Amino acid sequence: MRVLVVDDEVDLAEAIARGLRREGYAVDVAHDGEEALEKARLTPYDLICLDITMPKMDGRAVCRAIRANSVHAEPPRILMLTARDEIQDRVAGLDDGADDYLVKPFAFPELTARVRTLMRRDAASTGSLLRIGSIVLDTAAHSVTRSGEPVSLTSKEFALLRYFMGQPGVVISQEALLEHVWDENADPFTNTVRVTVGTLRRKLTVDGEEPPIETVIGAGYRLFDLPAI
Amino acid sequence: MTTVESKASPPTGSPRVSNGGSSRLPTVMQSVRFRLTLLYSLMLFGVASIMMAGIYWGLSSSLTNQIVAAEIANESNGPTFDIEQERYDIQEELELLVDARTLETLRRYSISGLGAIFFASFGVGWFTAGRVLMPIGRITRVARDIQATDLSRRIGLLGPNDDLKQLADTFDAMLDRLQRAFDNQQRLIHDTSHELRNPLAIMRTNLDVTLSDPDADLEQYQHTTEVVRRSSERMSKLVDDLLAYARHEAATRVESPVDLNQLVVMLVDEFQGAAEQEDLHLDVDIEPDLRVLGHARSLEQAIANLLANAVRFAPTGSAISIGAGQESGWTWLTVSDHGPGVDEHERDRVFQRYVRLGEGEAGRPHLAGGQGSGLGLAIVREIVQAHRGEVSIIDTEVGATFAMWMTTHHDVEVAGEFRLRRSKRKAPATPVR
Repeated sequence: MRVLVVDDEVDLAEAIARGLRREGYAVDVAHDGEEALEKARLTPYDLICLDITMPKMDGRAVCRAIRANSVHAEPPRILMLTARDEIQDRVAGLDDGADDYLVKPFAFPELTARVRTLMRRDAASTGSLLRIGSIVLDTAAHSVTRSGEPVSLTSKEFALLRYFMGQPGVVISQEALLEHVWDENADPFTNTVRVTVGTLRRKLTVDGEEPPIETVIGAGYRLFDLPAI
Repeated sequence: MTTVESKASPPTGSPRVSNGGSSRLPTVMQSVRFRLTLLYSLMLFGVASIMMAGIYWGLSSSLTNQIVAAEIANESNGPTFDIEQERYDIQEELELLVDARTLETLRRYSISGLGAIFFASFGVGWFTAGRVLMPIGRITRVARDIQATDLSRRIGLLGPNDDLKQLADTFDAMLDRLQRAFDNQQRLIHDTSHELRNPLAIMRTNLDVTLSDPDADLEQYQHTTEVVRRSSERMSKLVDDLLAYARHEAATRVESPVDLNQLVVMLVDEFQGAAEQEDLHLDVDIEPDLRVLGHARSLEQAIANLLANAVRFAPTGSAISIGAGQESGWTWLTVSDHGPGVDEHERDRVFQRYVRLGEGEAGRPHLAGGQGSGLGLAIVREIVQAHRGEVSIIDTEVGATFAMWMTTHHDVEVAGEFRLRRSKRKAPATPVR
């Protein structure tokens, strides 16, 4: 899941980014409204954490601009972060197209919980558990089990699996994976995607069973869509 | 007709209530209206009584001294016949009787008249006092209705411009001032609480993220403590400026001639250290004998804020120039830097509370986190406007030039006297706050 954190307070934006990266998100940072808009145009973010009071262009204007001319198939979810907590501020923020609203200062676990909620709103699952076949992924506890056996994954592998589980049965290109699971610092010319998918597949494969992720040559990768058991 | 509410007088307000005797009085008898009425009718009664007594006395003395029958007898050259004399005597007796009866009648009518006057004057007095005091009742009601949080109500008394109208208008004017001050205070608290939330959020999030990370290394902890220190510095700066703001608000409005030259010299002295640290050169070019009318400490604060602003934005190694002079009744002072400047459309906004422009671009990245409180320039404007002056940013090729205009003071003699006082005060190295 690719996230953009926008805040003119550098120390705050960096801390949020650090925390979200640890949760397995691919995070980019922008420090003003114009930069945020530019990045949102180039990258199909899944979520944007947007501060309201910023120089040059405030968060509400950014939010309206993103909503008005969405260039991506999947518009990003927008979580507004702000020090203003009056009801009319919240209403105005939500009317501008924000999906959720969090007042500063916030507890970081609350931010991650809201991010998780926003991310799964379109998925058919409820709660924090995603299930495909015998694979169960807990987005809150950050754990994965296969047939009840815990699987130990790195945060990047976890983020990759979560992205696959959001679209089971769909062939996902290497570019899409780079866009949604890796942040802007990833080098698109390395084989990092291929390597990570390879390790993930190996870790998820139980002896004697078919690997749950297959490579579609020339197109990308696919997670088999199996009914949950 | 509205009656004046006797409850208007506070129950413990008058000392009469505390002694047991009058506390038994019904509340209506404690009202101003009742007292006015009583006073009025008693005085009228007194005057009427005196007049009646005078009439009675005058009449009775003139009646007993002048015997009409005797006058008639005297006119016919003395009594000659006994029979005549007898008749006169009878007439005189009759006359005395009539006089006594007349006086008796007068007395009776007078007493009942006085009684009638007493009641009538009581009624008229009650009515008149009620009418006159009606606006007071209105003032009382409005004053009672006003809660601390709702100062929007006004008495708005109509009618002739008399004492009570003036009282009501004074009251309204006082409410206007109170409401403005109250609104201002509310906004300040509001803005400030938002402003405190940013550094708080920075600290909280950094601590949350670092403390919940089992793999956090020493470097990360160091970074976090550094961020927390920066944020707490920012908060203490905000608190300092808030106090300065409050102090200015509370500063006495007593204005006196201020020696601007001396003020600038003192402030430049004070800022020399900070400027040298950044390798900045302070360039002073001011006309001699500049005096303005104002509050010295407030003006000092305003100029200090402009200097602090310039020092923060000036790129390392550049010069900050301070100029001052006089022009058609105004004294101006400018502070110019070679910093990033202020866009034309932002020039009014920078004087608003908690409005900051992109400080990250100040060309001094080592200042990151050393942000201002967002109050500095707002304080400057507040102070200058309180001095009936104006502060603005004027066009320059490079950097920003802040100019403030103040009222020139011409009275040289008083100024000299003030300078003496001021130079005595200068003894401590830091300006007295």
